[in-house]
Amino acid sequence: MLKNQLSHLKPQATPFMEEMILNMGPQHPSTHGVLNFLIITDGEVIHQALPNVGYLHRGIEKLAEQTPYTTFIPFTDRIDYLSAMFANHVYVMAVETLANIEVPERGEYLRVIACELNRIASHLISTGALALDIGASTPFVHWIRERECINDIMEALCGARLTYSYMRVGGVSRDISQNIKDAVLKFLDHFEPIIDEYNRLISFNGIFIKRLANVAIISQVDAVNFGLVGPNLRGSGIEMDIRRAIPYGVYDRFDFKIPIGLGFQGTLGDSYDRYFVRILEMKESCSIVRQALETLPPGDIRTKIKRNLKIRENECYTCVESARGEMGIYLVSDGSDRPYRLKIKTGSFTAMSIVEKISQGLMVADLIALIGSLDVVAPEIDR
Amino acid sequence: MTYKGYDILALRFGKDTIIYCDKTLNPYIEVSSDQIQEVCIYIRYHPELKFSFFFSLSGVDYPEKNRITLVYHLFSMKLKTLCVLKASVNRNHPELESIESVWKTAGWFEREIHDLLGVNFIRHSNMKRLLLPDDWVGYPLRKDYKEPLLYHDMETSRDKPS
Amino acid sequence: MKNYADQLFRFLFQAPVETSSYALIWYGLFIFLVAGALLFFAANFAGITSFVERRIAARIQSRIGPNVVGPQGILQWVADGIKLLLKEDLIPDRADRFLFRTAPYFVFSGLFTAFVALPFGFGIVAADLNIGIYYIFAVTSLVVVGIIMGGWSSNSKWAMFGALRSAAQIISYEIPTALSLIPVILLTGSLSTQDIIKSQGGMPWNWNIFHSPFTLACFIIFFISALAEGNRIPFDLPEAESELVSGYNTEYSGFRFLVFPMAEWANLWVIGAMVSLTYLGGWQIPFVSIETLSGSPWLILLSVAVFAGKTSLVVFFIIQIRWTLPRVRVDQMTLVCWTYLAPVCLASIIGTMIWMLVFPWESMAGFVIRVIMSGIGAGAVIFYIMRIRYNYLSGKAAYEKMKGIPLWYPFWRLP
Repeated sequence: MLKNQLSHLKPQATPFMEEMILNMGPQHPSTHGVLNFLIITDGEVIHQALPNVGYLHRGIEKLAEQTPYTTFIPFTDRIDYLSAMFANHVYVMAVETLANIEVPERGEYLRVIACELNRIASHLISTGALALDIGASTPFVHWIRERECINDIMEALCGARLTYSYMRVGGVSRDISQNIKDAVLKFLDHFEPIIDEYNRLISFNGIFIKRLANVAIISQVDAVNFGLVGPNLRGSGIEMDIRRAIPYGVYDRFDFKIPIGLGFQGTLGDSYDRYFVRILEMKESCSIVRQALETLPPGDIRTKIKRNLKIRENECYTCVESARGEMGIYLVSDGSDRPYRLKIKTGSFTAMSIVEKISQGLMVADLIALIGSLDVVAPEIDR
Repeated sequence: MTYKGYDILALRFGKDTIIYCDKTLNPYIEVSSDQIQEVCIYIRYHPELKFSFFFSLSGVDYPEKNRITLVYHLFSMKLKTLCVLKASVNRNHPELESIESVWKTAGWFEREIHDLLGVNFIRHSNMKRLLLPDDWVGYPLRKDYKEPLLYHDMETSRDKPS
Repeated sequence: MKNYADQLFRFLFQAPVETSSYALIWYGLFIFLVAGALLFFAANFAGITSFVERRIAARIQSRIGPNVVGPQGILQWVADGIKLLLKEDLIPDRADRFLFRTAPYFVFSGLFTAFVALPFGFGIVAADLNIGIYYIFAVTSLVVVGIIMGGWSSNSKWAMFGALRSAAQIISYEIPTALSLIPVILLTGSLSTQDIIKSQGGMPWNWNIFHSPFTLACFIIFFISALAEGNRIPFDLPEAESELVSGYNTEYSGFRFLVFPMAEWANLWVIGAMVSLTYLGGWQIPFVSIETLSGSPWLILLSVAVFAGKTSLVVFFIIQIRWTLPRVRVDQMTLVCWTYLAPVCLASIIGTMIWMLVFPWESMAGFVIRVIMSGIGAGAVIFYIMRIRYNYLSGKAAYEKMKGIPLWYPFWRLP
């Protein structure tokens, strides 16, 4: 009877001997959105975990084909609600590349500032939620407190706290005022020491290390083979960052390091490496924001574009380094005022595909640590 | 993709099966659909190319040409460049070699394309719908797709909010 | 308690109870009275602790916490209780209805009968059983029966997971818990809770904890395994909310659900009282001998206050740990128990025996060692306080500069 009930589910799972099918999600506290795992376990040990995605499929790619280029920007916020700025950025970059629009220098700098602040905010949620999944609830609330400061800054900067729609084709929507600049600097002064405090609280906690180190090790071969991107890839020790590999915007003007996993507390590529790379990345983002604020050039923030933007037949692929890794857009135009085809490639999508392989032999609690350390956001998988 | 990389490929596969096109912003290489797996293996492991990073796989529907084009975006850390491969399949019988054996991650991209565009990938380990329910009718990203009015007796559309 | 009953009878009816023909009825009535008082205390303690824990957690997480119902939100737990009473008592379809309904009673009775043998002050104990400690272990084991029943009968895999984890955890941690109290029993020569306290003294160097390094180790082990028995973080695996949704009580709702957290909070008192009575000197007041204590009712009340104070400190410490540490994994939990705690306990028992022969309690050497040990203990407490102070001050200035509002309010001016 159980088999019949499950037969309509997409991943086919057949329990063998003493195995049990455990249905984790979509209503589960630590699946970070609406995800479903069909777990075949023997007691606590997972034999197979089959991810079942699609609960948040909204057909953004189809919607894009019916929406004019400039009007589509708010949709991109909804791809990844934790780091909406990157989706904005990659989309407007794609349109600018296709339509051959020059972005003023000040606009590019503002984009960098907004993106890096958003990266910090996203990593705050990611690392905090990982601690929450491990069972420590305090770090998450502390990080939420810091994220609130970023949200306030973002609200002052672009009027929204979560779905920013800050980028415009040809620049950004609003200029940064002296007040916001001061607020950003004040926040950075406050935040950098807080990272150390946070590390004292949770990163170097013995139980926390025991829970994450040597758990769910992703080798370099697997990481490349499964197309991991961003901090997950760098956690496996591969120095790959789109900001360096394919420099976009004005990122080549800033001096920043690319933190990679070194096996900080255990094996290279374990959950702790992926976690700690994010912590280190936040520090780098702080330094990038400082540099950008120091060298912020005067001038326009946006080039004027035609109200009804039409792009001749062409295609391009642009990608940015989002908080969850490389986010790419493949945009095909056909001369009309809306995209012919828009394909969004996201980091969580590939990160999700590795779960089935890595989760074999883990315990149920480790699977949650794995999902947390991969920093999967469900709407980004399904789009 | 530079000309150098294309030359290496063309030496192996011949200039008539592999066509270089630089009219678009990212120049692409047109590969025939039955050779795509070989080309992918070659381009990934060739010591001078090493396109080891699989960025994305997208499908584009061209109803007037009666083709579905599959676009592979690859990246090489060695050359620091993007490579775009294109393979076209017939829209009525879209079938293509799966490259899951080359990049594991391509498996999920192929499932997504199978789901949304209806392309069948041969020798794929789990050729099923990924995002939509298994019993969904039609392939939404095709240009002539009409959404069914009912799904399991549930209305899929609603009146415009007044 | 019998002499209190006799005294009360004499006070009320001016006649000795032994000669009265209503003696049995009076004793029966008195038992109900005491049971009611204990239940009242336990339930109220659980409720107030729930509020206190939430406020402490809020402070730790730089939030405010519940502050709406009543002054400073002190009545929040009453509101929560009423809300849960009014909720529908849902029983899942295809659950084992009988076991599902019965399970909370087991959890409830398992914990609340433990209060019978717990002392509250000098001579104030519902029943001074001569097997007190043993009794407490025996009845608290009933909790795991209730948890397994609740988890199994829910017909939910998550609840089942939680129940089985709970069984594994509580049964394996029974062993270090029991073993780590044997040094105390060796030192006292009795299982009665009152006798254990009487054998100690008011000052720290007369407490069992500082008797030898072995008892100190046993104290730490007892504290850790008491946390595990009470399902507190870092050992809250049975209800790990991020892994198992809510563990064994996933399917419960309404008042039946309330029994589980209530038992958990009442268990805090049991843990605290057990720790303070076995190792921390119980209700012993410094510089007051037991002879003077027994004479004065005011001193007896003071002993109650001392005991409650020590217990509250332990409870506070447990709450602080709860909101600081992450959770261990299930295999690490059993590994810690069987490879560290149990062997160290066994070694400590033997060590304490030898120590008792080499440095008897009354000897000068024993006294000096106890004083040195208590100095070390005081140092640890001071280090703990300074560490908290450092953490607090390091974030305070930055936060206040950033937000423009004070980080900390005195408790009478809470926001």
